[in-house]
Amino acid sequence: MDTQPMGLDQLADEDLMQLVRRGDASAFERIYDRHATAAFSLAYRMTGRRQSAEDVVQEAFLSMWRSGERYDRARGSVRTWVLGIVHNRAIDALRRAMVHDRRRASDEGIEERFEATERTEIEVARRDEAREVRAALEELPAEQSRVIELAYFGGFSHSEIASMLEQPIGTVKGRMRLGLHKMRALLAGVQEAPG
Amino acid sequence: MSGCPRHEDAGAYVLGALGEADRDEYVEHLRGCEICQREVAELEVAAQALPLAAPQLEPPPELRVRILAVVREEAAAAAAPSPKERAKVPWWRRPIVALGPVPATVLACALLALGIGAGVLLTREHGVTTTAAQVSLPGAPSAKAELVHEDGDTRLRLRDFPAPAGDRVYEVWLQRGRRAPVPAGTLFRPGPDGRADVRVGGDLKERGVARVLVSREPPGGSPAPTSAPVVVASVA
Repeated sequence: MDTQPMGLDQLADEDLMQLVRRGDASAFERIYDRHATAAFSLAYRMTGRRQSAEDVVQEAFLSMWRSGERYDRARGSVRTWVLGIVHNRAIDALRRAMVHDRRRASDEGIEERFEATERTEIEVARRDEAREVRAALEELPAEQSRVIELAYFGGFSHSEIASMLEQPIGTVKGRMRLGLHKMRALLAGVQEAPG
Repeated sequence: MSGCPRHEDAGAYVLGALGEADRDEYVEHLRGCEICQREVAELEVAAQALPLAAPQLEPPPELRVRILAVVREEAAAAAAPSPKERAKVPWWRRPIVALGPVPATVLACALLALGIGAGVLLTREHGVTTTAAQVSLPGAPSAKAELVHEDGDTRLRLRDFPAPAGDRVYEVWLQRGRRAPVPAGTLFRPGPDGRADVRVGGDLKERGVARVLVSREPPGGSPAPTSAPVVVASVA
């Protein structure tokens, strides 16, 4: 049964998830509103198509709703959990639809039309955090950021990337590791925006 | 970091880029290797921040409507309100299904009094089933609505429908038995010619939907109907 909507906005994500687990649709609505932008942005970045991104986000959120009990706060924030599910669903979609080659070719201008607005202080903090992460990724040597992007956003395996770039697998794995270490150092001090 | 021949795999592992067999092998290795455990923990900090490197885009509002419609429908199915809970709400403020048997009959009579057919099967040929819907728009006597079921897909076809006042929209609802209607995830305004042809969903009968309703709602739609339905279509 739903609780009164008043007060839910003040709850942390982790507390909302306890209500979601008991079937509270209003609590789930708050979770959606807090994380839908990041989820849709990740899905669109990975699939490159608006329709695919919508499908991925829908599948991901409905799977969270139906299996809220799988969220384990000991393993990280709700946002990390949400984005992990979106990431996995997007990889499934990429592999299913083989849309790698169509990425960025369609939906021209979607960034301008749908650019997220900054409505609350938390959203402003998240946008700042996103800028810091993008800046850190851009600061990496090109060969390191490339393998990281191909792996994370492209859903390619290390051996696929090695063939694509005509580099030994060991080199690709080394670049991934070094790039992530450098990113971590650059991000030190960047705090996750509150849930 | 050195001291473990597998530590180079940590980056590919946290990025999800190890193939399935390699990943299973590495997970097994991780259980007993503290060096790799530390490495993975450090690199995960960066990997978990990566989603934010995507340009931030606003999801379309229809996506929210669609997802939350399913969620509310499932939540309502799991916890239908008791008659006692329903009785606390004045009847004129209740969602139409929460009216209970008597007001629902009154509603049906009111619709019939307008001289409009109730779920009349018009045609069933070549796999296409067309059902006339009740329309309750006193200011638009020629307004008509039909529910068309074809190839496992259901559409609502409206003719001579006035645009709702201001920036209000028409919202489509699905009703199972006497449960509260749930949003179908479809908001629309008819075209300048008064026509609208909107997709309602797949095989509604198979999904246990008894009726399709349309009401006038504020922009962006509502979680439950805030006005009496202007269309009531029985699923044939």
